Amino acid sequence: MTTFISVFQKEWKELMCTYKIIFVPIAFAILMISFPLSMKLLPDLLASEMPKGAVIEIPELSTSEMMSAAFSNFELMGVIILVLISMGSIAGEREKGVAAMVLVKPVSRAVYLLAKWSAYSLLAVGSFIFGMLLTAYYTNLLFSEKLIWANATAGILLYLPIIVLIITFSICASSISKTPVTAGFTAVVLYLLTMNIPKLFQSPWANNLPHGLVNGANEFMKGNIIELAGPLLGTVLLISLVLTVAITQLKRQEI
Amino acid sequence: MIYCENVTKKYNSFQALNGISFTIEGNGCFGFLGRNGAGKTTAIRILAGLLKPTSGIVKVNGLDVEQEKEKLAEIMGYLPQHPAFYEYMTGNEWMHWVGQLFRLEKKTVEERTENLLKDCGIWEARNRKISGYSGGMKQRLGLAQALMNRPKLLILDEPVSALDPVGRHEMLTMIMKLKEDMMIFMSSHILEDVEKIADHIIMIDKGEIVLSSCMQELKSTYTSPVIRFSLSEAKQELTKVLNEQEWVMDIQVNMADYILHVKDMTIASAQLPKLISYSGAMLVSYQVDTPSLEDIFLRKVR
Repeated sequence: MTTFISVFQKEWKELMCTYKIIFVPIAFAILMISFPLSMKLLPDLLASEMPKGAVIEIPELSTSEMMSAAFSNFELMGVIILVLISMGSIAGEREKGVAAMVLVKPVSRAVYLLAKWSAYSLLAVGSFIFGMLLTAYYTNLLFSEKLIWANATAGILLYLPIIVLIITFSICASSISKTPVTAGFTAVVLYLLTMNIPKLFQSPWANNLPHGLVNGANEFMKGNIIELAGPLLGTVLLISLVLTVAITQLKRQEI
Repeated sequence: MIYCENVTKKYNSFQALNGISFTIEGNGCFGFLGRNGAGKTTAIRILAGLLKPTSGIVKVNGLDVEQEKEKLAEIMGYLPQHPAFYEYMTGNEWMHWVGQLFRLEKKTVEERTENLLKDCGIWEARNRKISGYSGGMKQRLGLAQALMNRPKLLILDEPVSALDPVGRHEMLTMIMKLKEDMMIFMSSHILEDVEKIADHIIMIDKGEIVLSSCMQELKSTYTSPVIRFSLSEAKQELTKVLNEQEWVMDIQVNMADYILHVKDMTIASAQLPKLISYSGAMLVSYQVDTPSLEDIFLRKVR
């Protein structure tokens, strides 16, 4: 445990020294807040471009729909940001030779990997919460319909295992791949496959996978309370499985 | 303390180590020599537990390097050829972090950091970021951190390769001191340095051990005198004639420079000038010597 804390503290310091701890929350905030802001400004922007006398009516989205759209925005760019910040965590260190300097010390490979995973997961989760809360605040401020905070909070919390899953894929790919670029590409492909393949199947078991949790988080955000124990458990199991594979692979690997 | 039995390492079709076996024990400096690509770094990385041998047994202090990596790490210090660090850290921070990994008490870490950084000559630069260190400074920091746990075995892969002459001298002096308290397993290309500090030599070529001997034994085995001479121009005919002489044990030719290992110095002294004269070449320099480690190395790996 002492070694884990030492490696974790080092990782956290690295996140601070490389300013990831500042850039990631800011990037997430910009990414998520852009949707409610653009929806608020859209009528004015369109009006400035339309001929005089033209009338357009844009129905105002509900605040829950706005929050749900922020999720969608995150799904595209957010995944790429998370993968980019974490893809070199192990592959990069191995490439530079630092991994060899660390792993000849009494640091087990499992501790080395888990400390990195914990630090990056914490950063990703914190940044996501920050971005979503900022989005919720501005959505509440800019639009007439008031946000139901309980629903928004539940939706945000339910999305957190997905954030951790993205980091898990990235760290796992980084432990297996020889270069950070290969790791990043592998992580994105893994994520896309995990989220999209179950959509091809109509069977109920497919809803117990992470994509079911994304849908569930969206539904909670809209105020529709549905049973989510299956996808939640499925996501946690998948995270555990991927971590086990990553640790086993790293233990077998030559540094 | 280091036990290797029939160790092989294969990278796809390339055989990096071809069944090396050796056992070394006790404190002292063990020089591990070989030309580029001979398999030195592969063997060293196997000893450090970073690579897995394709086959064979490797034990350090009775510990299996594959199965007992963490126990091995407690008693070992390792300095790779190109040490790498977290460059955003200062030298002092790196040393403290390494101390934490060994679960040493804060006071002990502070004491050892100060002593080691002073001994390695980078105490003044302790608060500078490692990204600003020169190659030599990184090598010095690499040695300092490898000694944080007061290891029983110190593995050094080309420890003086990045150092200037003064740095080399200081590093060798330090190794001389350290070898009294621990086993130092050191690879180097600079044979002159190894000759100064090593107590035992292991030579490797094309993945095989070609010689393993203690320094005294090595010197007594290879006592045959050496004649070094240079001619004004290369003479192939002379090389051919010298090779046919019974008193010539071995001959190394580099352009017009010759190194002869001879059986009998009296006959050689009488015969060689005549042969040079017959060849029509002009003698530029002539020196009688005892074989250096480099001469022995060249004979063994040629």
